[in-house]
Amino acid sequence: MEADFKLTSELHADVLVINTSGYVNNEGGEKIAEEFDKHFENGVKKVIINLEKSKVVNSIGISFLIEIIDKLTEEDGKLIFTNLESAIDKMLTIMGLFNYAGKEATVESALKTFNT
Amino acid sequence: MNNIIEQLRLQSEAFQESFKLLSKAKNLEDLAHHFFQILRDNLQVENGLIAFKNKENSEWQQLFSGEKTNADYQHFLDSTDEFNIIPINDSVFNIAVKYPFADHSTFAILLGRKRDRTTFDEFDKIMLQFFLQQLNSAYQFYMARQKEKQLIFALNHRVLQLNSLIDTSIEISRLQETSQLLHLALQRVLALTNASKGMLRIKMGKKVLEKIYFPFPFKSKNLEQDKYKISASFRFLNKVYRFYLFEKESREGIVKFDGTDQLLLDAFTRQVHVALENDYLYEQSLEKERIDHEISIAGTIQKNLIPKALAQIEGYDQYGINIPTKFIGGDYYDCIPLPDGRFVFIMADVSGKGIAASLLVSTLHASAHAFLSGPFELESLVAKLNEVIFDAATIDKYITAVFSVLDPKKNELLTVNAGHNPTYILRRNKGVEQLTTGGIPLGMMRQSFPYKSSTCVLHPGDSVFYYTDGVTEAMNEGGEQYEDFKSIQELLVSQQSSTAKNFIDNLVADLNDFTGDTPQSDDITALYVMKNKI
Repeated sequence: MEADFKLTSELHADVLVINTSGYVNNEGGEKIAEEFDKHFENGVKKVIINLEKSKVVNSIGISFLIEIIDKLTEEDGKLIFTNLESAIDKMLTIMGLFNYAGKEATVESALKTFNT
Repeated sequence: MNNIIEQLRLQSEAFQESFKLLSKAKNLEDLAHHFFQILRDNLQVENGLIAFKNKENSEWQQLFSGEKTNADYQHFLDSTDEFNIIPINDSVFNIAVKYPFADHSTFAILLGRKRDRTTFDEFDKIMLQFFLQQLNSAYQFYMARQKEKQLIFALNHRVLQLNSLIDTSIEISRLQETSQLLHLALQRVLALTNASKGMLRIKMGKKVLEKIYFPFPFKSKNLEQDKYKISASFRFLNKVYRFYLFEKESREGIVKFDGTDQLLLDAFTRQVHVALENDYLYEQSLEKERIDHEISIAGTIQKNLIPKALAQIEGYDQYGINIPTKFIGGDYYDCIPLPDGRFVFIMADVSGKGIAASLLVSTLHASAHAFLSGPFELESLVAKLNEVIFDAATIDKYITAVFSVLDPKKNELLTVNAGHNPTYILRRNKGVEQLTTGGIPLGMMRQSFPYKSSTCVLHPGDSVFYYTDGVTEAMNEGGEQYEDFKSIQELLVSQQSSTAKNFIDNLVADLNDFTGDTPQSDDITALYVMKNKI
């Protein structure tokens, strides 16, 4: 089966940026969580998830995002979502994610938020 | 005594602290880790292993191990009695206990030797029992929090589903592009039911017209046998749109869709159906608007064919009127001056109404003007017009018409009546004559019998009245026609008009009195020509 979900990541100093592409479902959520864990174990506590190329997210995908927020909150870290399509923005709002995570229009503005 | 009290106080504080620590656990590994910390601090143990299974028959899951070990302690875990702390014969661990909880999960704890190398005494075992009870409480607390989280998540998810149902309904109703609408609906319903993939198949009869996939194309054989799928469909414009959703996701793997998922899919499918219908009706209304606009233009063009003012004829007074209905009618009249000083009157009525009638009027107008630009014989001219209209018209269309040539110098009126209502001449002495000589309506047959003409001489005070059946067939509320109420002869004789305009105005007033509020069903067209009195 062809995989729809793709992910890239980069470190900007101590900030991890995860760029996703495709359906954030069980498979996509798992891949994001794995990528996050890899860096979290190395002490990364500032994370940006750029959903610019992900237009569809389901609640299983969201459950992985909540786990990431939980882990970061325990360690006084922070997650910022960027480039959210309005439907996804509303979805994450209703699921309560923005009570514990931030959102910014772009990766650049999220990086600025972390650096101030 | 004071020592015992102090020891009890310290112990009490230790219990409080240990419960606080256990309550902070974020997950089961955390809980096990904290629990070993408590045992290490209070029982002075060097090493330990904590395992867990969530059901009686499930496999043990190692949550914590003080030392990295590959040793298989499965037999200890399985053989240990529940609740009983028993010594075991092992190089690393000295005692074991298995503690079942109310939800049928079980914790098993293996503890290594104490730091001071003493054996576990009864006091240690009592302490361990106390801590195990605390573990039980902390575990129940942890599970309650987990359930609360799951409940909040599930409730939020339901709110999300309802919200998305409403939002998607609005969103797809705004989309003009059908393909975008279908893609969006498939994506939304897929996300809200946690389906891992979906397809929309559009069929007409047995032919598959299109398949839309999300998130990627996949092979979709044996659709009906797939037990991890749900579907819903609707029929629109002879096409069947069927949505398929496959493999509901959960954190535990693929599960079957539930009733709520089917309800959601049905609701989405209905929304798409309504959106497509609305889109179609909108397109139809635009098309109708466009056609109405075209008809309105055609109506304007037709109106422009009728002269706004008639040519002046020396020694004559003439006036005409055309009152069209709201539809495009097929009435036409004209007064065309000829280079030799004569004038041609035309009164015509195309069968039916609408664009086709309008086009035939245009054809008649253009052809008549073209043929009249050179020398002509009236009978031949009408015959030529008959051929032109026959070639232009469909089988059910024809034109009744009257053509007259007036020579104002000789006061002669040459007339051909092509199947039209009679033209009336009202003599000064109130005598009434009908002009009916001619032939069949234009466009009925290509080669008809030759058209014949009649000639009459107009004397001072004589009048000629041309009209269409919109006058004679004007209806009142009772369904009676004007002609039944008053014949044209009576109308002409009863009028004491001093001018042609006066005659037409009186005629219109008379028609209005007769018809009252009854809507006009046909064009009313009339032309009155008076030879001036000397």
